[in-house]
Amino acid sequence: MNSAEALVLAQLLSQLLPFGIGIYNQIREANADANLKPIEDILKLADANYQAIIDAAKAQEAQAQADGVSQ
Amino acid sequence: MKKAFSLLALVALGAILTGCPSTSSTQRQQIAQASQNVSIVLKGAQQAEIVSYQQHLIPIQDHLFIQHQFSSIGTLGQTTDTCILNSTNTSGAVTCINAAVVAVDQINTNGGLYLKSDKAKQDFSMTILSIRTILASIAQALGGK
Repeated sequence: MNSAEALVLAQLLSQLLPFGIGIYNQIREANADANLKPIEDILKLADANYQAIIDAAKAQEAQAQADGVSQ
Repeated sequence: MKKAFSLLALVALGAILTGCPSTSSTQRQQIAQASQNVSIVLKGAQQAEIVSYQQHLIPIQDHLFIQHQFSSIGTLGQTTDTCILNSTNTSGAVTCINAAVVAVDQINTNGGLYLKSDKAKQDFSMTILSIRTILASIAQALGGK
């Protein structure tokens, strides 16, 4: 592993660990809390994230085209 | 990289098995929560991939392919959310998740066939497998196959 790969690995780990902890906490809270958020509200939050992902992907494609790269 | 995936998978699996849902409504809410969790994982992974590309560690064609697949998973996620919302019981919601798992498997296969860069393949596969693990574990814990 070279230094560039080590840097990316460190970045990925730093992002994955909070995800794992976040998932753990969210599900633990969901199990402990009798008054869970309504399904509609939870899915609305998920949809907002999915939409952000789709928008980011489109922005990346547009940027690549602006840079003159054909797909 | 493998360690990161293993850790995430373990944390996700352990978390899912914590506590036992007692009502169908609670179970459906947990399934909805799973969809949100997957979207959080995916969103972060997408940003990490963009950074890797900007650091010239992933070739542009692979980058565009991965982003396109992220977009596909985003659309799949929205479809799954609608499916969960329209389901009337746990079994129906689990079916929604299982359908998403099948689609995610196909996306992972496509990545293995298309991607040229080993780094891109590794990152892509790790992300997709993490997502699959969360979905499949929840479906299984709630009585799915």
